[in-house]
Amino acid sequence: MDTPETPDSELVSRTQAGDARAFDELVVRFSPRLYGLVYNMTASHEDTNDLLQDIFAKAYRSIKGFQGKSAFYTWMHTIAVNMTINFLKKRNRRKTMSLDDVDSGILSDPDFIKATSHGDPSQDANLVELQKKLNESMLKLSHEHRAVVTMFDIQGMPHAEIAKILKISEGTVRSRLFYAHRQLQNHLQEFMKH
Amino acid sequence: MNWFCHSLWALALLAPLFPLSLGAADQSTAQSLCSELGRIFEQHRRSVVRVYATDELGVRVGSGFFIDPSGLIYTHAGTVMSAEDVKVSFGGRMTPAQVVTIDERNGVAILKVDCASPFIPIGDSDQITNATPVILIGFPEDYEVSSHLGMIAARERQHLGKYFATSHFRANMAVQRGEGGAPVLNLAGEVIGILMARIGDGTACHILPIRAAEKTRQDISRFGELRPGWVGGEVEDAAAAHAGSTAQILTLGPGTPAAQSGLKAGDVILSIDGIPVTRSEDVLDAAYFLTAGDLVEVRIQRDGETRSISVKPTTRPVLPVETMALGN
Amino acid sequence: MDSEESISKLLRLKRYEQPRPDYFEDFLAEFQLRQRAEVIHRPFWNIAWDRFSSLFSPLPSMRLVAASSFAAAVIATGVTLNWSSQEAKTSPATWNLSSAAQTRLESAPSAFTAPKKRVSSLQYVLPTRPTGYASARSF
Repeated sequence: MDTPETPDSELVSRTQAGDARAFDELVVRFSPRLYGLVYNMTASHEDTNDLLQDIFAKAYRSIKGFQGKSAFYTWMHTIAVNMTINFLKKRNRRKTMSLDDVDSGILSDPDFIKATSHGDPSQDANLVELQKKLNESMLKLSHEHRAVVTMFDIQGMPHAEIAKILKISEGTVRSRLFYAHRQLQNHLQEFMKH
Repeated sequence: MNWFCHSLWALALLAPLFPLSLGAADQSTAQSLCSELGRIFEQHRRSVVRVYATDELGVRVGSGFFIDPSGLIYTHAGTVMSAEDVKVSFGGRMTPAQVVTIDERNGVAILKVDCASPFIPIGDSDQITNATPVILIGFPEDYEVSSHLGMIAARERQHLGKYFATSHFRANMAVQRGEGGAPVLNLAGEVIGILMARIGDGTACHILPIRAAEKTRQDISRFGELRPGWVGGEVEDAAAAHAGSTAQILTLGPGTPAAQSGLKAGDVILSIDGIPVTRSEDVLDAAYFLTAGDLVEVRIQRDGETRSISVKPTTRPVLPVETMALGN
Repeated sequence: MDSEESISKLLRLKRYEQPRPDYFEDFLAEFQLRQRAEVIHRPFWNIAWDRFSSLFSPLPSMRLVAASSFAAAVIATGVTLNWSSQEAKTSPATWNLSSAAQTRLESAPSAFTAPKKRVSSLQYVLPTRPTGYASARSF
């Protein structure tokens, strides 16, 4: 990229002034990231698609009330997390987990190779098994614990940012993570034996 | 000739090598099937059009087709919704089109161009059964008019937990962007459906039965506007069937046509305007065809007796988009 | 390997669970479709008020954009034909405003550079969702 990207704040101002195309750019920018967040909490691509549409619709309707006190990034994530948790609470039926397409990039990730090869090159079977185990374990966590694990471990967000989004203290973020990790360790015992 | 015909010919030629070989009769079946499919495509491809709709966000491109000789077109509501300008491309030229109506309930839009047109005859979508082969003719992306051969898998009332306004056909057929609004024909060369949505990445799709689209056209013909009918009743499934139906009235909205008609909570519905009902979900399709102001007969079972109650539906209240999207 | 660290590493691999490549393009297209539908369903006064109140934005350049989009909202509501709600019908006064605003729309200077990552402005239509839904058991 030879010219700098338009900052979020400028796109937000334009949207607030009525420029719908500026918001489209924000959708393009934030949808991949928010997709990961919502998907790892719901474990369903179909639910994620619907929820994500609702999240952006809500953001668009409420954007006039965004005063720039926090980063737009934080505000968007707060809406996403809250709507996802509300959705999960209402979801009265356990959805079957969708083992959907995995980006082929995973096959060259050094962590993946270390975690699954054990010197044995049958990676595809291990991949499916691993995904399944992880998804099962994640679903056993409470919505709030799953949220912190998704944001910290999967999306790589710092504790401080997570604290701002969930409106809790950094200490609470850390203790939730610790508790969630211990729960996951129990569930993934088999895998961890290697 | 397409790969399908090539395959049939290959099969016919290799027939002597197989234990169950194709006889002469089968070879001519393959031949006549190929020429029939080709003939349907050749006969009707000129009635299929490309629709361009412009608004401040850009240009949407979809497919559509003529249904009468005066330039009336069925297309997908999603293509022309809130467009400032609509043009239709056919016979090698671009023609401005007027939007006659957009029916968000079933996803159909009707356009009109100011010239004479070839058209596809309307078939009876009620006669379509599972495993019926169908042909779709549409404009995928920026390619020329193309044909697809597929099969109707089933009628569906819902997708992922949300109910359609009326049953759709689910078909196994690869469809592509730009083909929203394309006609789906039976092997008699009649249009029996309109392509509405792809399922997932497009290896299957949902098709609106043409009868449901004709309801839109009829309302416009008769009234110049859409008049979906609504009577204000809610049904649930009773524990046991009465006269073959478990669709029992749960509530009747206060002041609604249902409440004023003599229907009562507890009545078991057997048919609405002649459309049979055997379980609560069946009212979806029966109710779809109601017209505000058109009296209908509702046959019910009450206290072991079959009765007929007349109800005059009123205009269906329009739900806001979010409520609709969240389903019932 | 420390097991706490292993958990973290295993979880990080989940970031590869992505939808197919053209998903996000389709996502934006569906979002725009929903936005249009929402313009149709929201009462005219509601949209107009939103746009009108943003005319009082502190930035002068924003007011022009606000006025243009106000006009666009009026036009977008105005072109909806045969809709059941009264709000869709336009009055002569509205059309006068629209045509004046239309001129302004066309002559408004593009004060901003176009966004970098643009989705193609030719959108080939085939949604993944139906246009309308119903309550299964009400009639």
